[in-house]
Amino acid sequence: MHALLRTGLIAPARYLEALRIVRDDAFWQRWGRRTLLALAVGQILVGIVFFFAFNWADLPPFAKLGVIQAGIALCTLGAWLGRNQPIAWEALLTAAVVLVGVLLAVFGQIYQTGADAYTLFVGWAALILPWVLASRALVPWVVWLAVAGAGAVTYAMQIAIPMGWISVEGAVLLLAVFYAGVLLGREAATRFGVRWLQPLWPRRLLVAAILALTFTTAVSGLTESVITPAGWLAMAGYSAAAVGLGIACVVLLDLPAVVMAVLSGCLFLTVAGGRIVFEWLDPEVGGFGAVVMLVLAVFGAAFALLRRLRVWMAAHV
Amino acid sequence: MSDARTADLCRRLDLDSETVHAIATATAHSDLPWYMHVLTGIGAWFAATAMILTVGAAIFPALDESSLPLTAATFGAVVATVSAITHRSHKQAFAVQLAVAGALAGQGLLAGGMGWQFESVTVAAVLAGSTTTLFIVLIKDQLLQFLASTATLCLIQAALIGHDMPQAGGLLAAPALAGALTLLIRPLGPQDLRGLAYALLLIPVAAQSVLGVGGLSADWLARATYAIGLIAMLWLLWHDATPGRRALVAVAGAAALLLGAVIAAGMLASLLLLTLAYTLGNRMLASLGVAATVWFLGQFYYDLELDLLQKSGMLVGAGLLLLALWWHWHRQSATEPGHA
Repeated sequence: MHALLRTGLIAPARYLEALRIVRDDAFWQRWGRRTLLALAVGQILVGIVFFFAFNWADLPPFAKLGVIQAGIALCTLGAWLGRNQPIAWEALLTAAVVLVGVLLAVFGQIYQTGADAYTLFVGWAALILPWVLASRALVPWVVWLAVAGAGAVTYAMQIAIPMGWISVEGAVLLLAVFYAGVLLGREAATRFGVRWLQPLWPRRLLVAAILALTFTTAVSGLTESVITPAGWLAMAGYSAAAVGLGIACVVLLDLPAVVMAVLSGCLFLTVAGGRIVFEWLDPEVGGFGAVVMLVLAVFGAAFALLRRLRVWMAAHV
Repeated sequence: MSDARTADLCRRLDLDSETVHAIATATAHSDLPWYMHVLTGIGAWFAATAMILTVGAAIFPALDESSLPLTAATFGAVVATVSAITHRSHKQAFAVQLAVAGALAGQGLLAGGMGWQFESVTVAAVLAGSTTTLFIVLIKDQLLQFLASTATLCLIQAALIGHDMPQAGGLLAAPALAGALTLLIRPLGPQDLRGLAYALLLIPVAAQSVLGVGGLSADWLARATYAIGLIAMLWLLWHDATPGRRALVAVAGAAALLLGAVIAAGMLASLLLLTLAYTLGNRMLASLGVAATVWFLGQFYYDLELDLLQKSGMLVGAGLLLLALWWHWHRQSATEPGHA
């Protein structure tokens, strides 16, 4: 529309009229209704939360737990009643799944279950797993993966790493391998025609999670004054993840996922190159200049590669 | 834009369909996907930062502290000028992003250096505003327009707060909102000022979240500004609505105004963003409006003028009213022919 405006085909005075003509009216009507409903339900829920926050200290433990359990029961019942409406089913099941975590947190607060945060996350993940398996909906699965990941991280930090059973890098790589397994499962399931797994955003979310986990550990190892064997392991793990995911996503013709792998690779190469440069050169005598050359070379090559891949993918879709 | 809508547009505005198709096709082909812009942007911004540090590391150690502000300002002016020339002479995505990063860094050094020299945020704001004007005139880049305008508006807001101006948020929001709505609803034609318009619209809203909530006395000007903006948008919707829908628009408007009046200026601003998104069919504004609504509802918790019981009653009451409106709209849509 702005291109038409710039060329003078549409007069500024008729811009709004032109927008209304090209606007997807059905979409915006639906959006308006859903936003209004979300605003209404959101405000009522926030109002209820404020009400309990006002009286929280005076509520007996039974009432506190009862309120949350009633919320879980109502959400589950609502999901069952609205099972023919995918949005209601998914939203209410997700709310119930989240409320289980709130219930465990309040339980821990009332009965002082100890300082081991992993028990909350592991218990939460275990309790909701049957619902998640039965849900056939994406958002409860994403919540479960996040809770399970948090459980694994807190268990590693509080038990496994202090006991010397595993290094930080090893724990992170194991979690990344777990998410890679989930990603493989998703890809296999979509091949077998599981329709609710068809949207691409879970794949991209998992790719982002694997890259973020391995990248941060690899960069952390790379920026140590002396690179330890665990640091080398983290870098090897990241390299395998970035290259593997990059190639797999090229085969799957998923350019945004390829861009994530390439971008993380560019950043990793820049950090690695920066380390080498500043070991040899001072900032005042050309260190930053060398970094400029490095960044231009790395990102320029990546951009050229991605442009070619974009054309190739467009021809193969 | 689908073919059917393009045809409808050409028919109703009496446009040549072949020309419109040619322009639409050329625009679609020249546009890289946003995630590739992100990649080039990150690379270019790294490179620009390293370039500036290269020169800075060579110049600044040789200077004494008293001459640093003016040197930084001069260096900034040079960087901004070189970047502007680069932007005008190159069309490749990487070079353009490099120029945007350089221009913005130049603006920051120039405004920051002069502000440091005169120990005045106002001086920095004036210089940032002047540089932004030059960028808008010389460089046709929406990202740079948005970022440079954002920097200027942030400095203006900081200057207003620094001078202990009462109603500082409203003083920025009032003229900014007027400008933003004008540019978004009735653009200037050949001059594309969307970057400026989005900065004028969004930065005062963000400022509301920083300024916080403090009851009607603290932000009546901002509330009045957003209420007037919302009424203007609702009037446009009312004007465009079928006679059967006009009552719904009027009641929804009254509910929104009531809600904004009792909660916070930020809540009114969020509702304005949602209404504007609906009117313009703008998904980015819709997402920002939703995020702002959630944010300002959460911030309402910290309003110390009311206790939680009063807030709870207000929110549940407003929620029930909105639920009734939704039900009415839902029923009305279901009875209309060809509803989705």
